[in-house]
Amino acid sequence: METETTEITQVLIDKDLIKVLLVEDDAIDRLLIERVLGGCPQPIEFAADGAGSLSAAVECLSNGKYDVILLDLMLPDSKGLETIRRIKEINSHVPIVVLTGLDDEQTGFSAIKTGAMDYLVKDQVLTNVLVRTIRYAIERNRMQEALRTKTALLEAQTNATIDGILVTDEKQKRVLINQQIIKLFALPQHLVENEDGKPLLRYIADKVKNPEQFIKKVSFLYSHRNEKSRDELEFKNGMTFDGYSSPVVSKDGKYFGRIWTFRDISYRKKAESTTVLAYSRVVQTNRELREMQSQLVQTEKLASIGQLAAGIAHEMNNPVGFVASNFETLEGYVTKFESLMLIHENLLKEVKSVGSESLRKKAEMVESTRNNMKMDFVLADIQQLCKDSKDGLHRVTGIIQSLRDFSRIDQPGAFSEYKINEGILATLVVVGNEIKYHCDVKTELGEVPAVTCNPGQINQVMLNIIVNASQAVTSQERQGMGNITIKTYATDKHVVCEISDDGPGIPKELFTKIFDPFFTTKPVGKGTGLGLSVSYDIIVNKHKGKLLVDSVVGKGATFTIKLPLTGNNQTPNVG
Amino acid sequence: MEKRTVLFVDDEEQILRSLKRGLFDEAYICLFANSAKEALKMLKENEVHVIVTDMRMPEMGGLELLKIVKVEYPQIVRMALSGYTQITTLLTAINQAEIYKYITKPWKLEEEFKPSIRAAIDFYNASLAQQKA
Repeated sequence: METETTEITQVLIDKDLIKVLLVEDDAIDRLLIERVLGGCPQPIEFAADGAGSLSAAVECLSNGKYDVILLDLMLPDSKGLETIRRIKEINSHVPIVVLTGLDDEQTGFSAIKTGAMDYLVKDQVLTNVLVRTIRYAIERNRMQEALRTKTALLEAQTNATIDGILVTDEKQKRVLINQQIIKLFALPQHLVENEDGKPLLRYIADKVKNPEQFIKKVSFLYSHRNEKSRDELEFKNGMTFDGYSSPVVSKDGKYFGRIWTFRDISYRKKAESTTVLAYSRVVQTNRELREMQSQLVQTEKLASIGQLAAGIAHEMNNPVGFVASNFETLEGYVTKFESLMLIHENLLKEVKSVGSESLRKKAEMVESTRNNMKMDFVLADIQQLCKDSKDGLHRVTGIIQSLRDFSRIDQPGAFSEYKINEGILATLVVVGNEIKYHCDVKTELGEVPAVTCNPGQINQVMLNIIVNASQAVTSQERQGMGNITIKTYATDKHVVCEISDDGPGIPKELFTKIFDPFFTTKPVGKGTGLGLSVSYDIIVNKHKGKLLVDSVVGKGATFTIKLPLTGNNQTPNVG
Repeated sequence: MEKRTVLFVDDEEQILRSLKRGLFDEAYICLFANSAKEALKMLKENEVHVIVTDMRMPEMGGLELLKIVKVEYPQIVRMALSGYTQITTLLTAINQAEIYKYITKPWKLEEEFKPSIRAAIDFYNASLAQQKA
């Protein structure tokens, strides 16, 4: 027996000293038990405090620490199971072993149900029984405490999570429910208290947008043990939950049922749909802007082409005007000559028939000269000649008219070899009418290589900048002529064209703004505010070049176009 | 009736010469100026009854010239001869300079130009008669 005791002691108890509170009003019984404890072999040692009443026991518990309480239920100040409850109230952590009389086993069982760890029949208290009972009580208590802690932790965890959690067994009986799920579904109290999961299912199904589908899914999951499922649940009130369900199975394969977790993702869904909506709006707006831009670019182009056409027409109207006028005058002259010729012819005939010999000879000479000059043909042709020429003038007038009405659709410009100096000279011819009354244009064109680019677009950029320069100069309403200087030269990487004017200049803070679409300093109706933004797009985006501005207010402005030299187009070209 | 005088203003000499030869046997005196400035000088030195000017000229344009004429010589009949046919240019000339006629380049000498000048002179004579009456 002693050997067994030692073994158990080594296995279960790692304490050398066990402190016992002995609550017993009978001094003889107390002495007996103390003696039994005192007779315990090493290595365990008992230290026992005695208490003759409940109040004495309570005092002991509040002053010291005990590993176990040996409790007689028949105390002067407390009797029966009530004593256990009173002790538990003071300290629920110390295990209680109840001492009963020989004829009172029933009380022992009741004591265990009330919270005691074990019971002992007083008259049968032997060393080994007492020691074992005490040790087991302590150990059981420790395990219970550990379990309580674990359960408390689990419960705290379950309630601390953001997810609503429900665990049900196969019969849809509720095993676990956390606070979050009560909040998420606003569960009424009767459902919280109801252990049956079916009313809960009906309650939730009633709230989702598609109850039939929800119930079908839940039934499917109940009938398919190992299925996992993740779904977005949409509710009638507009909320969306992320729902997840999976089997709850222990490591060794025990099936506990099924866990259901729910997370409110309404905000995310709303944000998502807002984002999707916003994105589609951005796409739509972007498309509209592109359309608008191309329309505006088109309008701008047509406007400048129209302006030029009108300018050219005006230029042509002057020479055509005086040519046509002169021609009419010439017709009058010719008529005069014809009349005069007729008089001369008649005179000639008269001389031939009645004139003297010498006069006749002279008349014949005149006639032969006339014939040599094919005057018959000339006189007969004059009318036709005049008619044809008038037709020609008429056609030129028509062409001028159509030039005024000129407009054309944007052609997708192809890249080709471009000699910038030629482009500049051509552009100057085209804009000559626009600027010649306000500005003297000076060119300093260097020897530069040809570049690969869209010539029409580059010409348009130069046209924009030159016209801008001219308008800037005009805006000053100065007395004399303004000056525009156009310079070209090449660097290692670029062909550079500088267009400078001595107009009012541009304040530094506008250097970036002037390239913004719709930015304009011109009076309403004069500019679209797109000339420079289109130019920037052409040079920087389409040609990977640079468009720079530099200016001193009051002194003028310089725009610099840099077109990249690439690959094989670096052969020098005399402009 | 006393001979009337018409002043033609254009910055292009060829235009002026073509007018000179086109109108050389017309029954009025033709004067020619190749700038607005010269025109104003000639107006000071000569009695002019009708003025015909180009619109677009360097330094001072036709519109400005006509506006000055309107103020300083209101009796002179004002006409324009221009390659510009945009409505805005026409309207400005009509509204601001109160011109009698706007002839476009290229012009038809017999059919349009000469009758217009004659009509302008008739208009001048009629206005004068009205004033005297």
